[in-house]
Amino acid sequence: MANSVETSSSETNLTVAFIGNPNTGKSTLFNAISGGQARVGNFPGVTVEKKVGKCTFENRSVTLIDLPGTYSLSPRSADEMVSVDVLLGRQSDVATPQAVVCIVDSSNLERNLYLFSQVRDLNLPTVLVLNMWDLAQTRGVEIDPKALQERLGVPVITTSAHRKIGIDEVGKAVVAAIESEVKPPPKLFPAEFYEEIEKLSNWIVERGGEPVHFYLLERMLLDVRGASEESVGKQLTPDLKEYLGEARLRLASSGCRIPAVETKLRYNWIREQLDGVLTRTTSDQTASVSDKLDKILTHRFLGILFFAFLMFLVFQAIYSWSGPFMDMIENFQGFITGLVEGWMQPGMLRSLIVDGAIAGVGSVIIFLPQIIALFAFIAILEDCGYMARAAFLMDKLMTRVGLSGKSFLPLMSSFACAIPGVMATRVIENRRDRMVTMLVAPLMSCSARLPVYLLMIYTFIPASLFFGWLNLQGVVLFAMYSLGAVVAIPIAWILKKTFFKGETPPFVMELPPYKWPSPRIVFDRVYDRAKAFVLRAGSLIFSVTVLVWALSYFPSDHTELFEIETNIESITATSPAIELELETLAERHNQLSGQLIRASYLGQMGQAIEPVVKPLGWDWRIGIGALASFPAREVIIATMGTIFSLGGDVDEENPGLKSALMAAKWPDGSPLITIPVALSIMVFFALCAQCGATLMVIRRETNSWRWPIFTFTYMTILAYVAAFLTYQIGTLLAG
Amino acid sequence: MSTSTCSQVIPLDLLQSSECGRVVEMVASEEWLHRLQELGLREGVTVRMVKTGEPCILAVQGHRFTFRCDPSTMILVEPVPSAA
Repeated sequence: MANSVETSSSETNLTVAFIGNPNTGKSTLFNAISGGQARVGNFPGVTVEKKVGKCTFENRSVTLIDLPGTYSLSPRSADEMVSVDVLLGRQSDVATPQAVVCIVDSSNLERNLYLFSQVRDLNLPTVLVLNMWDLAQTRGVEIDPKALQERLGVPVITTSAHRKIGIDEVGKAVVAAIESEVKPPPKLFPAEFYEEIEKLSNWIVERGGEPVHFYLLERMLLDVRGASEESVGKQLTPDLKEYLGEARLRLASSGCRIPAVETKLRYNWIREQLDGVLTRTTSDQTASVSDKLDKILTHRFLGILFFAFLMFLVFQAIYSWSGPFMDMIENFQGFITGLVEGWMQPGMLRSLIVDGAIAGVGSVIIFLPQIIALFAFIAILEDCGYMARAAFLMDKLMTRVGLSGKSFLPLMSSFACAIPGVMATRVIENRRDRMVTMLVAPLMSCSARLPVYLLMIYTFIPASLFFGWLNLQGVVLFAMYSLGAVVAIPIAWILKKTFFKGETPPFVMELPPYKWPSPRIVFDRVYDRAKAFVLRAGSLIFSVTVLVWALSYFPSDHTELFEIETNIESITATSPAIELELETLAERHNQLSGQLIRASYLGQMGQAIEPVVKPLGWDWRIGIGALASFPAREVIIATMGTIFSLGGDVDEENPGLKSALMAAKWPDGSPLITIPVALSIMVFFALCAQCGATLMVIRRETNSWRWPIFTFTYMTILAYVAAFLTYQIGTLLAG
Repeated sequence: MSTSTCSQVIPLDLLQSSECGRVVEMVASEEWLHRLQELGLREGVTVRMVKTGEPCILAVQGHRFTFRCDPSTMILVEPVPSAA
């Protein structure tokens, strides 16, 4: 049995892991120490966030690893196993930590020390950080850190990370902990338990297994169906399960019942350690400020009313605040187009740059301000503690369809993006609930749909005001956002009645106290998401756009078109005769562009699929746009930008896609996009599974192709039917 | 053992708003029980009912939890006089 962790021989480079319960200010402390310069990624094979920062402790360079917030170190899944693997040096992509910093909430030591007591069993140099020290004092909690340090046998320091108090002490304590001898972890369990660990270790080695760390052996015995069993390798696991079952029976017969024994003994130990060290001068049994706020915010009616009002406000705000920023980006796009057209002669390359790259990518980037506003709102609501209350409120509604409030948070974050939403379903313990949540998450209106809605709404929905302040455009946007959520209700209900039958599971969730959102955390989240959005526009969307450009450029002959363009651009003088000539030239230009794009590969493909999309009110150009956006739905904007720019619909004065769409016509001269068509496009995009990345994440999370295929099929059929009904009913009403 | 004057034991969900109770017994599936105990809801702790209902809000050692049982879970508490 291995009792200690092999640490790297390098004396100057240190690796230190941070671990702690959720809501203990762990990330704030991490950021304060690393100076906010953290690299964020994923641990390979799992979706656990890997956050690594650099700093120096006492002139030694240190790599800091921020492990995900957790209440315990009892791994039940591969995800939870990552923290244990990192701490034991079993995670190949990070160095073995020489020390662990366990961060706890000072005002709640009794519970937070549970995790600490498990960390101690790892037998690593450990520092206990009593964070939120200032808060504990205002809450009437008095702790004697010196006495606690004596009892626990590890350095204990106090910090108030959000005020940057005590930050430097952490480094000093870590170095001191590494340099002094580690005291062996307290033996909390009865002797029989340690004998079983010894036996288990021998059992594994006898069967040719590698020696296993003491802590993993402990977890194998304590966690029924835990993830630590996998660590002995595939051949041994089936036998091991049987062996562990017998071992647990032996322990039970000697009065050591698993898993109850662990919590009982650890909490007893904590009580002994804190006896006389911690005193509470005021009782926690009175209502706090958060409780008073919760009286209203979690109220059966007022709470829901507030929630609905808040959501509505978010959409109105996203809608009206970002206008000026969008104009700025649009002007910049026009400026760049003008610049390129000034430099280059009309030709294939100029067409690729102007019609392909600038018109395509530009029409997506323009929506960056809204994306930023949406992510900022979600980050603020999460960080101030409101989201947990929203989950509480929604539990009542969720139980109606057989889910619990736990499903609310993944669904809410799917409004930003379904990918983190699907990953967030991991917090749902119940497998059936998790599956149902995952399968309806892509119906939530993600930020990639926002550009589609906005383009259609800005261009085709009149900005009439109701009651003097309620903008019709905002109302339509809100309706589009609600559509996916409303449709998800019957879908979830059906799934819960058919594929995933089962009782409504119990529900428990912490409600953190309300606090002011940290600008740093909000900024970081928004920055990450905005960066991802721009990168996507620059890579995936750019490639699809160039492909669409090539398909709509070839195989037609553009010589005559370029001649006309050269002619138009060479005319500088203005006189009535020349104006007239210019007008005929422009008319010929647009007519020719239209012919050329219809004759292109894309045009041929488009006309082949037109019968399918005609019932939705679409022409072949919209149909092709929708088809091209199956990998990523924002592509619709870019492809339409390219198709309509190449097709000559773009107004020379105003190169934006908006005016091109307004000018677009059917071959018979009637306007292409009317209000029912715009609505049918929006409804289609609201419900369709046009996101390759989300389907891949579902495939990874369910470990089967069945569910992504299922999601894709049901959503696409739903989208087609709903868009069809929208257009047909809309036309009836309008006519 | 405490010899409180009102030492009757009631299910947790029968506590009234802002009433306190000491948990005396917890019946639940093993996994669920382990989870609740890790979160601090265990025998011997005093909880305060912040808000009744399904789910309810409980104050357990300075933290707030929202909590809803399934039919196979039973948490029995002994009401204690509130500090307030």
